[in-house]
Amino acid sequence: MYNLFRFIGFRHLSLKPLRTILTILGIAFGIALFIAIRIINHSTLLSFEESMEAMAGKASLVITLGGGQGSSGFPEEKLSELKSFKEIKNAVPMVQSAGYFTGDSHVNESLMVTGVDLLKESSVRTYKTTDSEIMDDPFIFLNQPDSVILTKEFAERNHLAIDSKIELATSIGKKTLTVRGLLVPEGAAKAYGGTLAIMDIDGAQVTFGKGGKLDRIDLVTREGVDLDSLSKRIVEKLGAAYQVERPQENSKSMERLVKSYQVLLSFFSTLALLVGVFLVANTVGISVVERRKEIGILRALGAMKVSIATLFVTEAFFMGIIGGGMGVFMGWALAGKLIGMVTRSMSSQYVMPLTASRIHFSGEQFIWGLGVGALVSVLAALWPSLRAASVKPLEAMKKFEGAQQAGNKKIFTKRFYVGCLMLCYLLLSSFGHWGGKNYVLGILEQGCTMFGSALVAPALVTILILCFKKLFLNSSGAVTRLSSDNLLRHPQRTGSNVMTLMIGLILVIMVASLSKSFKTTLNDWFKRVLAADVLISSSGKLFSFQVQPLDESLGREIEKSLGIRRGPLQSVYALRFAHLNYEGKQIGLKAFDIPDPHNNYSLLDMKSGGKATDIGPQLFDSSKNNVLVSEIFVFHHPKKPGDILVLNTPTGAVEFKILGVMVDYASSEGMVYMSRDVYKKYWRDNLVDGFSLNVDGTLSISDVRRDIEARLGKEKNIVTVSQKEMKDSIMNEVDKSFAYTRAIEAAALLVAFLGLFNTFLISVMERTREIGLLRAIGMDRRQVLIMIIQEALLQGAFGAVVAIVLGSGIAYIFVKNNLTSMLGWIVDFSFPWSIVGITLLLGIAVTILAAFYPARHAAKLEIREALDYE
Amino acid sequence: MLLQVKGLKKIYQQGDQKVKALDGINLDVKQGQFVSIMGPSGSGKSTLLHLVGGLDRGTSGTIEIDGKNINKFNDKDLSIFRRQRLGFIFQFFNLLPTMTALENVALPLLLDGKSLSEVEGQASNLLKDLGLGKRAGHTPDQLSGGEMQRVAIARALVTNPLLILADEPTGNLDSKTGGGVLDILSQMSKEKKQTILMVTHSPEAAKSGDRLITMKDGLIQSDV
Repeated sequence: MYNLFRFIGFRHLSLKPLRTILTILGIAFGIALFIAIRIINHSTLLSFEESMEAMAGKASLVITLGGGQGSSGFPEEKLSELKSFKEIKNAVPMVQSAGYFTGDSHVNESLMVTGVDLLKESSVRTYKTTDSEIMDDPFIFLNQPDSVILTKEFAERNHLAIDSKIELATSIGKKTLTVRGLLVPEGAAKAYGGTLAIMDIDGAQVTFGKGGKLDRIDLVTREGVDLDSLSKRIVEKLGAAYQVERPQENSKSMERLVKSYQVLLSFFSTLALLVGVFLVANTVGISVVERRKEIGILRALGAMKVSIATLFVTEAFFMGIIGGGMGVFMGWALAGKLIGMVTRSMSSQYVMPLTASRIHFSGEQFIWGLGVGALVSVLAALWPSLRAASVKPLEAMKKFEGAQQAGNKKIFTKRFYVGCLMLCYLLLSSFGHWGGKNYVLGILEQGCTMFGSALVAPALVTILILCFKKLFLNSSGAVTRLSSDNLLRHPQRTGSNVMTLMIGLILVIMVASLSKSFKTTLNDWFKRVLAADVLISSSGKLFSFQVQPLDESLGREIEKSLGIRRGPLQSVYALRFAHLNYEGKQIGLKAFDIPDPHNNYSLLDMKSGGKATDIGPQLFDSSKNNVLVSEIFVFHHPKKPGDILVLNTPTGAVEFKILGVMVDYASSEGMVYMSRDVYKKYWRDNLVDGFSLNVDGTLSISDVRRDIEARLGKEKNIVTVSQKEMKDSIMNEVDKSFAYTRAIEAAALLVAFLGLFNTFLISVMERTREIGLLRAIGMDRRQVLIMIIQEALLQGAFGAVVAIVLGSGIAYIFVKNNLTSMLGWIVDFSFPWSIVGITLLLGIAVTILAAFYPARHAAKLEIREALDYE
Repeated sequence: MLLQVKGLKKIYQQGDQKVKALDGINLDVKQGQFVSIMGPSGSGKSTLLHLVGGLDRGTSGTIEIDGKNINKFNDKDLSIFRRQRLGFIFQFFNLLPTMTALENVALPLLLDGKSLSEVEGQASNLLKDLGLGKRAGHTPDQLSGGEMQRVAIARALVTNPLLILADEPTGNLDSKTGGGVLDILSQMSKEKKQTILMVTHSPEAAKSGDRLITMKDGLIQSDV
């Protein structure tokens, strides 16, 4: 076997350097994207894990309210309840809040502000400052409540030094703080990628409106303590709402939360990898056809079938290893470019600040890249290699004709039926949500999506070419006739081209459909629920709740503005968003003030349980514990109107009656709506994330906004947005969330281009003698060029038409079924009509570009040489 | 008897019709015989060669080579038998373009798992015997037609086969070069007692053998 590869396989690879390089590049691009997504997913989780570990320090248990950083906090009295536990050596309180800092660049930068008890802090975390005096003598710090310590990295980036003043957005407006120290990147200072600020806990509580509240308590326990039993007892003491976890479990929860998002990313990157699979299958398939005679000779001389199959598989393996190796390094570079985009998108999705401070690249990733490159290449080469093994020794007796074989001219071949079966499986799997239940079934579903459509596509394109030939046979010239004849005469080659193109284009259609469906669904939803003319929040992104919570009293100051429509109870309506933990999952909670009666409870987009106008008064009856749940919540946790929902609140477990099911898109795990009065009663939280109001018509919307911003904007650090601006920024955010998918589309199309280029070049070589004949009987060079370009045009255009039909069908199934099990979103399908033109253009452009060089090469052939060519 | 063919039939299905390529051939060939087979196109001579060489299977009848019924061999055994016991010479030389003359000659042994260093001497001697000592490192595209066919002969001989099957070995060569190739085959038969079965269209080439079989319509018409 070694001899066969050494004397034949390896030499074929080196004798056809262009084809080998193109195939290797194709694998490399596919692997690059696959590895880049893997690195990004890994780096995001690892950064979070590192932050958690750095923040945990020596703590063996961490107490939180669950729900992550968006939780409302819990009463600080809970700290004293821990005194009865003898196993606890130190209980160290902490307040955490995302602060927003406007530096030199005038761009809001998020900063994780941590309020710590400096007297107790050293027992759990260590900090090292450039000026050790601060940490050695915390009283200097405590005596100056406006003090803040920043990381050295953050300070340098924002040109800050000790004694510099910084302005932070807080719940009570802008607050000026003085930088008293700079942390060197050690211990806790490494958390959150260095965007960490430390304040005294009392100062932080006041600054962020968390008076009398804590966000977490770190426990340093005595040696030999049974942590599981201690955790249980602490929960029993504090209440079921409290989560007592080992620090590493915190990152596990995060992993569970973002898993579905990462699966979606992996899904797209796997699709790009599949294009690479087709490229390899294509190359090996063509090589088998081209080398039929050689295989025949080897078989006649006694080579066994298995040796022939192994020869081709080894060639593919070799290309896969090199492509995989190159892909790993390209993926590493690509990850660096994409990581910012992806983490921003994830932050919006999960309404929490996620950062990946650095790219984590390990030897394991390298091995993965090599392994996946080799594996997909070998898998891709299996079928054509088995075909090679089935070549009969008699082929050796034939004069050179293997490459020119027309093959099977049947339209509906086995390949078509296998493709149909795969698409049927996809249909069943999607409706049964099988893909979301099991990783292997998920991969099978992805494979069926791409392979199924790619396998049925050649037959559909052939039918289109036949129709074209029938319709335009009389009116078209000889060259066009030859072009369509050539495509029909070589169905295998045409099929390979169509399949390669198909995957790239279907990916473009799927991503476009997904983005359009998200945008249309969100836009329609906002149209239904957003009746307010103006929304007010601290600077940040209100729609994804990445804002500094404000004190509810600010509402009364806003109400003083002119031109606001007055309601019976109030004129400005607050909204509070919080995360909470329900059955181990992080769900969202929205608490609203009793809405303006003019708006007819439009904010309640009811799905079941009754009309919004009937449900609204019950929901906002503060004497009753009533809630609404979102349809996504019901998808994850089967509940119906009338059922009881038990929520763990900071004041204990409380039973709520579900009045109905509504639509909300702020959390993929589910959302609960309740009255803010009820929320305040159980969560003891007076903070709000934003306010809404309507104008009364005496002043324009812009005048009212100007008035509010002039009076309160600077002092309270608030901004106003109109309904239209809000919608626009959401659409913009959806676009940004899909920005990274452009790289996936580009990689898939690039790999398809390489595949097509490869096939066209080989097709020209195979037909050299035929082209010589055509030239001998009078075809000029220009006509040869046009003939081949027309072949590309027909394949590109008809391939694109089939891709549009199949792609939109697959995208429909994906959006309606898979998206819910994969990401938790229930989204209406909306077809992106604009993509029809783009797909047609892309299909034609990619094929013509790929065919141009081979066509020119064919046109330049000398007749005599071409006729002599074997 | 080295080769014994009994009642060999080969029927092809062509559309709705059955075409009898061989219609019950009986043939015995002794060791060291150089048998030429002639006949018009479609007479079945190439089919007979393919079946004897195990490149295809007959519809009925038996083929025994050195007492072994090759019809009973499975694909793997047949591959090994071809590799070790038979030598092929083709009309279009069928050398592998990626390999040098020496490597092409050594190919059947390389397929048998031997390393090039082990068999290099053997292949090189054969090339020298056939007057190609200085062309050993050349690839087929650097050789003339006659040289390529001599390389193919060397490849057929390298395993020291029981039987050499030659399919129009001079069909693609000019008469002078073809004559040279036939001289080599004849010499091998006489000096080394090599059994050769050669299919040819050319009466001149057929004269090189010591037995001439003429075929027509899938049957042996004469055997002299």
